[in-house]
Amino acid sequence: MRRSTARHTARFVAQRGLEWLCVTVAFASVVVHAGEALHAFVAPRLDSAFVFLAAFVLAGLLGLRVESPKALIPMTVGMLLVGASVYGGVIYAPVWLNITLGTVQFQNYATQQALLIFFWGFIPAIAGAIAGNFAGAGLRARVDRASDERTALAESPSWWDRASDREA
Amino acid sequence: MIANRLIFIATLALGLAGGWTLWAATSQYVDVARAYTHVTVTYQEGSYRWLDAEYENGSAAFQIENGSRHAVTLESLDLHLTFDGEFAGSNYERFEPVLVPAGESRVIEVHFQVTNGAPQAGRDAQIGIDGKGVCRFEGIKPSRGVDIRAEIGRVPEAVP
Repeated sequence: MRRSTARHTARFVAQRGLEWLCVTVAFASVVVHAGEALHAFVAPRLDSAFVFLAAFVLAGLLGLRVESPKALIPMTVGMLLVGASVYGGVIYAPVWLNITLGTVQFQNYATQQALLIFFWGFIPAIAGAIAGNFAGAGLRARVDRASDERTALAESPSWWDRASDREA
Repeated sequence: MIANRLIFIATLALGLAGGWTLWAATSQYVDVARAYTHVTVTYQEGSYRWLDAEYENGSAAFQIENGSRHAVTLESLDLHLTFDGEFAGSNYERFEPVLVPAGESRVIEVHFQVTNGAPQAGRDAQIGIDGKGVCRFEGIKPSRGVDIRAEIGRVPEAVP
């Protein structure tokens, strides 16, 4: 029973972790396509407003699946932080790849752009996470009920156990 | 249950699509950065010569080297001739764009006209060239300015 619960928890955490990774990668991609710094170099180009939209929708997806606000808010902020850091990293990539020289000015520019994306995305992401969390309440209740039913079934004794009971 | 599964699948699909497009965009950007740094326009040592005895017209050869994976067109060349660091003249003629395929190089001859300074000042002056060329890369939208600088030194002989 305990092993089954542990497995269930591990699976739950892994699934949420995978979902967080997916929305984070998607957010980073939108930011790289919509960010002002890479506008001239990346195709297809997206309007900067897509940063807001992506932050809202992707955090909303997280909110639909993660029930606890204690987990949801750090996950949302984490999505923004990692997405913005990836954007800064992409801007600075030519230096890491020894294509261009790294200057303090360039470092500052990459950092400034990453911070800008983080702050831009913060409010829509939090709003999206809350909206998703409320919208997902019914959805998760149904899933929890189904999960409870499955657990209850597992708790009922098997035909073998029942047979031994009869013998006793 | 079905809605929940659909959300999970949609999230996974977004993650996969995001990963792929992120990789593609980063590759594009790095490719552009690589192209920008692999094109040089350099003065060919010893190529500067005076074209008249009055030291009013000169010419120099420049090599455009394209080490990038994109064909490059040198669209414009704005060079200034300096005598002892002071502006003396420019390449005033209309510049014909030069196409340099990927991995190749071209040599171009640029004519200069002295429009500033004392007559025959070029004979004893330390000649220098500085300016900028604008390169357009095939498949890359923004063009790039390439800085050109050369310390030529004294060229006392004039070839009539």
